[in-house]
This record gives sequence, structure tokens and C-alpha cells, in this order.
Amino acid sequence: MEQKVICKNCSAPLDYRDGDTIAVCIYCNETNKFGEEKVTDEHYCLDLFIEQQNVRSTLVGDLLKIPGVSDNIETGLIIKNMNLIYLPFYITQIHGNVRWKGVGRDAEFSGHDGKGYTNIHFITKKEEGVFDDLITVVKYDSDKFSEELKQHNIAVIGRKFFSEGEIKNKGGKLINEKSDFKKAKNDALKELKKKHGKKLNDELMTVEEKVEDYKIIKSQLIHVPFWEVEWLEPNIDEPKKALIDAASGITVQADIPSRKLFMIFSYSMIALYLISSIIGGLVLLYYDTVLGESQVYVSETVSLRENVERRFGIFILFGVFMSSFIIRLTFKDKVKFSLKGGFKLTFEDKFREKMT
Amino acid sequence: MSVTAMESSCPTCSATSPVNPEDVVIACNYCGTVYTIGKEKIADHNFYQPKYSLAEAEKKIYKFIKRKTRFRGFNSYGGLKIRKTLVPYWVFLAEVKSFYNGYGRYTRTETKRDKDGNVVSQKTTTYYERRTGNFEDEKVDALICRLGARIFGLDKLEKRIETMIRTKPLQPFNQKELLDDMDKISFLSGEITSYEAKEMLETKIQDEYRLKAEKACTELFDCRTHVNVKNMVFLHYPIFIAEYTFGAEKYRVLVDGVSGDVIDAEIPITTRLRVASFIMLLLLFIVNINYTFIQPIENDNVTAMMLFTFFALFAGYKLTNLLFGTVSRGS
Repeated sequence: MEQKVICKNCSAPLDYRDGDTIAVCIYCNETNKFGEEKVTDEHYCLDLFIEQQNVRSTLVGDLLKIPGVSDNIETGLIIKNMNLIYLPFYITQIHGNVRWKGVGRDAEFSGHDGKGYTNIHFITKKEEGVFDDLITVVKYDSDKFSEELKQHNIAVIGRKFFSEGEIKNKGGKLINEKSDFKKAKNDALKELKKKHGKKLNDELMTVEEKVEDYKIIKSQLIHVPFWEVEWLEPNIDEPKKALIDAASGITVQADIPSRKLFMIFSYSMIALYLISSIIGGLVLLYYDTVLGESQVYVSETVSLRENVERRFGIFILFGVFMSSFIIRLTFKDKVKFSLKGGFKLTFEDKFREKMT
Repeated sequence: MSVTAMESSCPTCSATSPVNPEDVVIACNYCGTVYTIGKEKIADHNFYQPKYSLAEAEKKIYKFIKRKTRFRGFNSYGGLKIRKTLVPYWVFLAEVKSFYNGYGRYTRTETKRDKDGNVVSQKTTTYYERRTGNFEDEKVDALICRLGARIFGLDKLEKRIETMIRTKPLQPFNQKELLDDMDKISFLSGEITSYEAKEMLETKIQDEYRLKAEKACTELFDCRTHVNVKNMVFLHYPIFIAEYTFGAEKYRVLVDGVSGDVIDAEIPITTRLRVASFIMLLLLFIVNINYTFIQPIENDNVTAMMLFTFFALFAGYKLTNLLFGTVSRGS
């Protein structure tokens, strides 16, 4: 079996067969010796799973799954422009071993009040240990579609050695990688170091000794084919875009066809639930003001006020939750909630809607 | 740069098998021997006999989709494409010893009431306690032997394999048994060596236990996890990957080849189903109004109220998903 091994001096591919221990580069005459330290930077490309004639049906099939999209897309969608582009991804496997010694934290507890300790004192202690990890880092390495492809998992089954001629034969356009293997390896190293740094931070207050041993196991550059599509929906002149992973058939991202009726329906549902919870809130406020001091009991344990609060509480809760479900589904991941940042609009999802 | 046709000769029978450049663990297409690119045989190579032939699996999926889409309009179903694949896994039996030490902070509120039940005073106290944990577990873990893998329903498959290994003994790999099955079956060779797999497993388990410890404590002081791999084998696990069309849309199904169960499937949401969900959602809204405004206010059944709230939220969530979602999942 022939293996793709590159020259450690000029990175040109070497003609190398099983059992060979030495190979001389035909370009720069560097003698490469193979022992443990064989250079295994590899460059691959993936085969097409979705051919040009299947792009339209893949796109239409995915668009029709979106609620509110009209069925006439199936017959009326026109592909205006379609490009096959090969985008670069690095896959790097890195192993790291860190032996560390230092001063860590511990605690002592005092002031037992019969139920538990009310005081804590932090103390220090000597600690040592080892972190030993192997991780795989996959990184997209171009500025083109960088937002869209940040979260995309590539399928890498059926790799072939990279061949620019073959890509050109298929009518593909090669998008060159932004950085090189060195940078990809460095990024992987940074990622593992960050992980170890975080763990070390958990364990130690002061690091006294740290012996690090990081080693790249393998690093590969893979050019993955994508279909960059420009399409028109029936009766609308403005072109829309889509990006389809041609190696797996997954629609990475697509503009959504216009669906006004559905959006009106969706907004009305949201309004219905929001208004219902506001009404509930107002009624509750009214009862609360009027019955605020009331000591009327509907049963032995439950006062009238408590009962009213419970009933309207459910009503408000239901309204708020339902409207948030609908918002989440209608806008997909465009609306994201984080504890720190509150609600945030993002366009990282598979489908995006132009707010026209 | 030339593209080389890749072939590898088997150390047992010398037959050549086509291989992909990324393969590091290769299965011989003739005698089934599994070996590394360095021609080192992997002795412990196992598999499970697929339960169904392609035709049987096709029937099974047909029935499944028919059952799931009974009320959605089954007529649009068609164009089933199915593939039988053996997916490579490294399977581990590992002994895990883990210890953590940290502290936890919690508060307790005491409320004093007078005879009439009115609140007189409230006092909140913060308490601290040591939190430690000591685990000794025996884990069965399956790690897919591919560097990048995009198989529909992969996460569910992994859990399935882990339980399958515990209940059903592994069969030593036997190419003949597979050849008896006349269907075309595709092998995936492995991309991760045993050394890499072992290291990756250790990282995975250590991260898992550290996360568990971090969740248990306000602050974690120490966490040590030791993984001892007692046994590791190479397993080819059979799956059926299928794609069917529903009108112009394409959907995917993953079937566990050993038990024959549908593990994960995309099921279309049709207009008919969306209309039905909308009507149900309106009904739920009306019931909610009735419960809040119309029922006599003296009705103070708290348990009924709680149950209704849970039901309404759950049903509301499900129905909203059907009304506004793109595709539903089922197994």
C-alpha cells in the first residue's frame, strides 16, 4: 500500500512504499528518514455525494420541510447560479501530558449551630498530579462562509488524496486554506493548553513546577465540496442563497422562501398568548389590590387571595411559556437566551429569514 | 500530483483489498482478517450478525413509517433507499476510580409564625459543608473508530451499543457468516489506532467525572480520575441507514442492525397534522380560560391545579412543536 508522506523540507509528496526507511525528495533532494518521526501531514479531498443534477431536489426537499413554505416551490423554484467550491478544513489530533506540582486549596469548617457549619476557612496544601489527554480539533480555515461553517460537522468518509486536477475536471473551484499546517497544529496545541490551564486553575492556586509534553499525532487538511447555490422562488425577482455540503447532502444554510401568511399566523398566536398573560396579570393586580387585606377563606387552609393567585398564576405561566415556545420555533435559533446577555438575535441556524 | 489507487494486501491470505487513504485499521474483504497499516493483525475482532436482510429491513421501515404517519397522510411515502453498513468501534471494558474533594454552600430559611399563621420573622442562614465523592465503576464504553463522522442518529447508536454489549455476547468476526447473507454490505475501516482510542477514552472519562464533580460542589479543590482499561476489542456493528421521500421531501432513518429496532427517524409533519395541532392548541387555551375564570372560585383543589398546569404545559409544548416545527423525530 502506498502512503502519502511529505518531505520534511519542502512538503512535496514523497514516493514511499511499505518497508521503506529512506526516501529522497525528487524536488529538493532532501533525504527523509522514516522512523517514529514520520511526517504525516496529509492533504485529502472528499468525493461528491450530491451531483449537480441532484442539487435542486435536495434544496427543494429541505425547503419544503419548513412550515408555511408554499408547495409551488417544488415546480417553480429556479436555480439561477450554482458553483462547486472546495473549502478547507483541518483535522488535528494532539496528545498532551502535563505533570504539575504546586499549592492548592482546601477548607476547614467551624461554627456548628446544630444544623450545619456556618463558617468556612480556606487553607492551602501541597498537591501534585498529571493530566494526560488526547483530543481531536476540527477547524474550518477560510474567511468565506466562516459564520455559516463554524458549527458545521463534516463527513469524512471516502477520502481521496488531494488532486487539484481532479477538482478542476469536476468544474470545482478550489478555495485555498488561510493558514498552514503549522498554524493548525498551533491552534490545536492552544486548545489543549487552554483545557489544561482551566483544569490546573481548578486544582492549584500557585503552580510551582510544570513539565509539559505535547505531541501532534496527526494533522490533515481536507478539502470538502460544497454547492453554493443562488435560486429564485416563483414570482419573486430577488435571488436567494443556499449552501449545501456536497459530500453529505446536508443543507448547511439557506434563505427561507417568503411565507407571509405563516408569519402573520405565528405573530397572532404569540400575541394571543402574550395578551392573555397580560390580562391575567391585570386581573391578578386588581384582585390583589381589592382583596389585599382580605382574610376570607375558601377552605380551612386556603384563603381566597391565595386561591385567586394560584389560578391566575397558572394562566400567566401558560401564556408566557406558550408564547416563548412559539417564538423559539418560529425564529429557530435566531433568538437565543443567555443568562448574561439576555435575548440575542443570531443567524447561525440552518435557515435564515430575511427581515424584509 | 498523482492520485494513487489504494490497495492493501492481507497478511493472512495475501488478497488485496481497496482501502481509503485515511484507513489505519483495515478489514480484508476476502478472509475478514483485521489488521493495521503496519500489517499487524488485530486478534480481538468481533461483530454482531445483522438480524435482517435488506429486504426485511425495508419492510420493517415501511411498517414503521406507515404506523407513524397513519394520521398524517401516508400516501406520499416512497423512494426508500437503504444501505447496510458495518461501523467500526473500539469497545472498552474499563475500571474507573475517581475521587473528588470540594465544598458546598447552601442557605436555609426559617420562618416564625404567630398563632394565626401570620409571619413574625424570617431568618436566612448560609451553611458550608465538605463535599467529597469516591467512585469505583466498571464502564463499558464504545468509541467510534472514525476521526470525523456524520451518521444520522450517531449519539443514540452509541448508547445502544453500550447496552447491547452488556446483554449480548460478542461474536468473533466471521466473514463467512456475512457472505451467506447475499446483500451487499459495506465495511467501514477504522481511522483511529488502538493507542489513540485508549487515550481518547481516558480523556473522555476523566472529563465526564470532572464535570460530575464540578456540578456537585460550589468550588472543587481536587479531582483525580484513574482509568484502567481491562479489555479492548474491535467491533464491527451492523446498521441500516435509509432515506425515504415524502412528496418532494427527503427524510432519514437509522435502524439498529442487531435488534432490528428503529433507533432514530425523521418523520414528516404534514399540513393535516399542523391543522389538527392548531385545533387542539385552541381547545387547550379555552380549557385554560374555563379553569381560570369560569370555575367557581371556592374550588381550591391544589393537586388538581398542579396536575392541570403540568398537563397544559406538556401538551402545549408538544402541540406547538408539531404546529411550528420543521420535522419530528421518533423511534
